[in-house]
Amino acid sequence: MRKALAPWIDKADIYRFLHVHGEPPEDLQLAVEQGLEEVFAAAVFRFVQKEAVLIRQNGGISLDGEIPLPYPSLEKLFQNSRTVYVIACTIGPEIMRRIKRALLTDAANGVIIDACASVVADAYAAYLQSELPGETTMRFSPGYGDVPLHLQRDLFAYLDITKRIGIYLSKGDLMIPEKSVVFMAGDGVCETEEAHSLCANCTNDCAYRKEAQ
Amino acid sequence: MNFQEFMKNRTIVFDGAMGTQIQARMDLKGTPPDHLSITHPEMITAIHLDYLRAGADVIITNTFGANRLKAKEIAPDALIRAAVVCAKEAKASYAKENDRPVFIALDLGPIGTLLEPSGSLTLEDAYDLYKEQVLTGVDAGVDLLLVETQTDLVEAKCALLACRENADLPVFVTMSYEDNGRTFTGTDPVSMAVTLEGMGPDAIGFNCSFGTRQMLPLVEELLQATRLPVMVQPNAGLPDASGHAQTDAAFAADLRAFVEKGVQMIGGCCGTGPATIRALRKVADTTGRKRTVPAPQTRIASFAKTVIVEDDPVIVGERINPTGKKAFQAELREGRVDTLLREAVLQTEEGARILDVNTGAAGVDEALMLPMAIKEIQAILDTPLMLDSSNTEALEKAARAYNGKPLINSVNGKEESLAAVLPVVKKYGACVLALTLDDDGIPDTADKRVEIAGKILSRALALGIPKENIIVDCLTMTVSTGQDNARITAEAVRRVQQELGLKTALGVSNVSFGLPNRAAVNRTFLQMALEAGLHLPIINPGDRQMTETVASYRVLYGKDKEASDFIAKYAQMKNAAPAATQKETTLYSAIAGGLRTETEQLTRALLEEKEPLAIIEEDLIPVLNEIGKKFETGELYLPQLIRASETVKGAFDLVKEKLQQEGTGVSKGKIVLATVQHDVHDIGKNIVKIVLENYGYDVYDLGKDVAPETVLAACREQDANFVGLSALMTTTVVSMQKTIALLKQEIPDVGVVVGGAVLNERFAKEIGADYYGKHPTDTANAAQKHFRNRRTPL
Repeated sequence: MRKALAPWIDKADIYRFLHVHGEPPEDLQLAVEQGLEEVFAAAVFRFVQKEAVLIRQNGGISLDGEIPLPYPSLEKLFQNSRTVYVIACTIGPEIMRRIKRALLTDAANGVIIDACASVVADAYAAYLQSELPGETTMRFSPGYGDVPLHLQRDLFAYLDITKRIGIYLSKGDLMIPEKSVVFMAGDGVCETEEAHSLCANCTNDCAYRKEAQ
Repeated sequence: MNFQEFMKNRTIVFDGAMGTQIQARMDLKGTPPDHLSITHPEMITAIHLDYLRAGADVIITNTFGANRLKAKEIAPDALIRAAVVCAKEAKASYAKENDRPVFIALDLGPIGTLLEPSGSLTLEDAYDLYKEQVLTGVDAGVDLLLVETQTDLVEAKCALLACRENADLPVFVTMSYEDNGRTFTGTDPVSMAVTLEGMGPDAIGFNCSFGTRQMLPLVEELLQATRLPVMVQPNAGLPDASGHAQTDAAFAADLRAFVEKGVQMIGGCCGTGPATIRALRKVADTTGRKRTVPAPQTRIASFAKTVIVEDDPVIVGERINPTGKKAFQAELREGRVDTLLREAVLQTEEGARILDVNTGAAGVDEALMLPMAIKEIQAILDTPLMLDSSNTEALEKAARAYNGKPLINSVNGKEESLAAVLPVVKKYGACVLALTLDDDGIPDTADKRVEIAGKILSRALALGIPKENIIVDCLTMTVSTGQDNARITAEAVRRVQQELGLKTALGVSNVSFGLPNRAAVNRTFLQMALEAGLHLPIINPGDRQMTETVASYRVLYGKDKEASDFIAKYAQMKNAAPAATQKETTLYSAIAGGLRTETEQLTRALLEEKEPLAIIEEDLIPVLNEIGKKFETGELYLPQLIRASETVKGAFDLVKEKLQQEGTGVSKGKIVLATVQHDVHDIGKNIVKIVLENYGYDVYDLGKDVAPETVLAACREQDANFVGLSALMTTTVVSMQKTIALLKQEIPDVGVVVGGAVLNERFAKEIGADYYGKHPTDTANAAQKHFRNRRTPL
């Protein structure tokens, strides 16, 4: 899996999470390589996906007519889509145990592994998206923009995620294990995607913000 | 005929999928299948009847999700009763066609919410959910109980307990495995078998999982790991895009191979139907079973790792014990587990394969603390544990909470101990450490110690505890009080094995008490004991001389085949890097560079010249502030900040030690930290904790997903008026706001600092926080401001 994910692993993201500005020093680069090794050694990659028909009815959109999506950001994003791919993926629970162990005995290494694990989980989502036929819109997850995190509940039921790949939802609709991603991507291209991309529109200066390319 | 009689010497056929058959008949459109027992009872009855006609001996009720957490619209009680009625009607109809005995199993599917320690559902609540279902099912008239599709071993254990404690019916437990040979939560078949076997299920096995084709190795592993009957009820192919493509003939052929190996109960899960069961009926009727039941073994397990105690020593780490460790005791009194967890991880890295866990100290409620410690350790580590307490209630609660098969420490030959501890050992299928002492104390002869071990063994056997679950501790006495003591203990170790056939354990270091050069005496006695056949040396795995003695013994006695463990561990010794060259360093460069030894040396030098408090204020804090600034301006990155914080801890410890000697208070202030309710991300909060602790604050970390009321209670309990709250998600900032509102209302002079990826200065003010911590060091700055303005304990 490491080979398959290689093109999708964004090391710049790892360094961003570690608050590195400029060229990372060699010892940190080595530590990040070792962190990635540790993540791949502990990861169990699992995913489940379903192809939903995007139904346009009564001025709104829904997945298969079952899950309504009354959110302007999704209406815009899926404006040219007929199909929406719903995908859930995880790199499993063991890596979180390793991170917590490292935080107890070598916390600096713990945050490096944590940053690597976040990026590997994201790379896995990107890889799964790349395997979809044709072009697709950006990946969009519940909790982004105007879409409430609560939509997770519907998507979990829709894909039977807990039973199929072992991701659970907490009472607050967050995923356990943490290094997991649930996203939707529509087929086709959204011309205005760039304009309403999340980081571009967001006013927060958050740790996850991506600089304009 | 009851089911237990029926299952003797017979291959039993369970039914196939319920969900698949429902979907073939109707579009559910999101309706929970369990509801159909009420809305479409004739359809459910017809599905059961189809399976009976196909040859199933057991039909499973349509109650997979009928628990209070999943079934929200209709009460589980009504769903279960309606489902059992459907099954009974099918059974009655079938009885008119055929007089073959058939049975009804109550289906108990997983709760669907993750239990502690990974999730937030408590074991007690999970138990109650299963208990409710079991009581209703039994009352409705089922013949047996089937706990199925479990992926979390602690939930399977919880469900089994609920069945055993609330029903007198056969109980079967099956778990769902993945193609890596483990469940989603990491449980392997051996640990599952070891854990469940002793708690009295009538059969264990697999269901659902990843299809039959690749399951044979797992089935073989399970058959070799348990003496119980084994059940396999797999999917017909993966339940996804592959569309359950396996044919009934191929499915039946694979299950025939399982039966030949010894599987006694077969059936189908997702994707199977009556035709599949017809094929399985034929398999059951025409296939001979040749089961080789494995020999009993002494096994201790966590949820993902099993230690088999054979004639090869296994190191038990002894350091999680607060006796004589004041700081550790103080932490436990405050309900903190930092040292405990660090010791668990370190001892495992040092080579301990089992960890003794003792939380006994004055002012600690062990009945609360020991189970909590067990859960916290198991959230990060899969090393099997020895539960150590003289408090039976604590042992019982810890054994119940433990995810695996524990080793209970301990029982002894006193009547009171036998009566209190052995029932706990029996109930949880645990191993137990049997101490060779009784009302007359520790005997001074090997004869008498062997006699006490024999007494404990016979009492255990009478209760149904198998012999292999007894491990005898012949007790080490110090040679200072009798020079024969070591020899007597070693002789007892040898004879307990030879005469009683039991495994042995021994705490070693007591032998040298009162002598100089204790290390030499300890390792020599360890060698004596190993030669006498000691299986579980209970030692400090950080003591190299002791671990090297064990490692060398294993090579010399041929236990470590081809010395592979020894070579793996010590081959690098000759290549060890030379000690770092000494060079002139300042306190700043030592701390910023993460040089712990140099930092401590410089601090010691400072302590010769200055007052401890002055060192904190004039040297350590300014260095930390400088490092913090450099982090904020991007000159230092996060791992460097953390490494510096950890390094400065050594310096702070030295200063605190000096202050304690002088009888001065050392706390800069008390801070309560929490990741807010409904949020499970705590890495950022943990980083902040490291930084704050190394600024000299007493930090009370409440963990993640913490309710506002819990934060308030902690502030009151600890008399803390500064709180740090963390939230990663926009949605959980609401919880943060609620927590702040409650704190402000109840503790007017409280200061609150908030942090998390989605927050900023403006947002922090809007939700009522006093300070915003963009970086970990901002939190330390906020704390400094707060305590400067209000009260400064220093």
